Amino acid sequence: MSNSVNILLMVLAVNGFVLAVVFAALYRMNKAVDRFDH
Amino acid sequence: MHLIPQSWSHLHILVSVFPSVGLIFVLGFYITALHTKNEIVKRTCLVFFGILGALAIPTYFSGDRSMALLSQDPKISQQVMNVHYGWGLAAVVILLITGGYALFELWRSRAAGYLSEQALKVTLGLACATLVLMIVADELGWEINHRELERVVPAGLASTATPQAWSHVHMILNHFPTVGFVMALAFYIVALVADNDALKRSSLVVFVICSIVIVPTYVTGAAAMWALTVPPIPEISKAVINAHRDMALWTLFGVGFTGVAAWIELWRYRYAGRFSNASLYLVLLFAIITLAIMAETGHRGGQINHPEIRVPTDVLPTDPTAGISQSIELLINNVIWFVPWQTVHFFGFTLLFATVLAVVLRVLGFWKSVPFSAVHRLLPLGVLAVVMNVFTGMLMMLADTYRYVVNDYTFAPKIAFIPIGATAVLYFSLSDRLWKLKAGEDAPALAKAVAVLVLVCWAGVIACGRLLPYL
Repeated sequence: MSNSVNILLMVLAVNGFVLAVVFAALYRMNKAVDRFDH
Repeated sequence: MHLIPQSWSHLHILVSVFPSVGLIFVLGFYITALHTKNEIVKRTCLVFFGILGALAIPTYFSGDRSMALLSQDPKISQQVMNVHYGWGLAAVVILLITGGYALFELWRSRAAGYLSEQALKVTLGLACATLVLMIVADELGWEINHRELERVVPAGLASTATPQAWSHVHMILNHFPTVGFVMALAFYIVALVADNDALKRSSLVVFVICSIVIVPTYVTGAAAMWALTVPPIPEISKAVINAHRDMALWTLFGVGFTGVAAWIELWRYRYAGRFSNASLYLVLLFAIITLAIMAETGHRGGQINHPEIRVPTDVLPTDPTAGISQSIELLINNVIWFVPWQTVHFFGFTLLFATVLAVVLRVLGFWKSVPFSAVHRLLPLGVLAVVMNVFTGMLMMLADTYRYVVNDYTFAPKIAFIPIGATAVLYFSLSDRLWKLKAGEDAPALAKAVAVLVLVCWAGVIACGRLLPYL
């Protein structure tokens, strides 16, 4: 049981971190071109 | 690093790949220049044809001296060397003619004030002929030393042995991201000095292409490791292979970082209409660091099965269990590490396929009311998803390379689909005709064909990946 909880926590931590980095990068990239895009 | 060769054989191995694989990349730049009628890129290519032509001299002399040394080795066939010498000589002569002709045209154009269209076409023809001869000479050259490619595994061990075709493919493939990277960097430096946007753009594209090709290169390398170690070959050390594999992992990340940084700048250029100097120099920094790592990776790869390039001061690794790749293998085999990265891999596929589908459907005419530039904004999501999946895919592969690479029938097609799909996506980033496609307009037929190819490839990647545990 405790192993399953550990796996779940690891899944949340790793995926949360990776997706946060990806969406932060995406936000920055789109913000950088917003002023050129009409 | 080991950038200075200490034997004729070493020099020959290093220098001879540039007039062959390097020529492919210069030809790529040259054909682009002819197509876009860009004078500076044409002239730069003519200079590079001249440089490659000059390399014919060290290629010939280092090959000639290597032959003299290798003739004393009873394991090397004199006949195979003679056949390579004949084709190599023909290739070197026509390479010299190509380089000389390109430089002559440059010199002539200074007085005439323009480049002759006919001379440019003759240079193209000569370069193509050189390339054909170089390919034949290279293939025959590899046969001199790489006898392991002809190994026949005893019947009792055949079921566990990995086909040597993997080693052969890896030996050919690894020169493309490496030599291509050197050529891209050389053109890129010229582009920065000359401040030429077309040349900057072309060089950035080649960095991206190298980062695509590095994926199958790494995977075929993993398969080649099994082909060379199970059953073992007496002259080949697993420890030396592992040392090469560790540097290859760093190279994979270095080329990946450079390629992604280059792609982001190409994407941004579409909107800004000019390059950002800070981004361009960041790409340059990544490329220089990566080149240093790549040089060491290549040298370690050469040490696996080229005893003739070893020198007494070389200290070869002896522990087959040492290295970062082995540590990652142990770690990722633990379910607590494997499952989280596998989940990231699945998120990556959903993001990638959603992006691909949106772009492809617009190109195919499903959402004509949307201009192409609107779906172009989505492309970074797909590229970041590819980065996620290459990283997590490599981690998962390291958990059991033998099962994935050798034993699963759908792994090879999956890896083959990735570069085809990624290169086709690159077309969406670069196509001027698509970029100008307004709401209500139909995409050109070529773009529609590429769209179908992209969809088939990425659907194939996902389907093959899902079938891995079952086939």
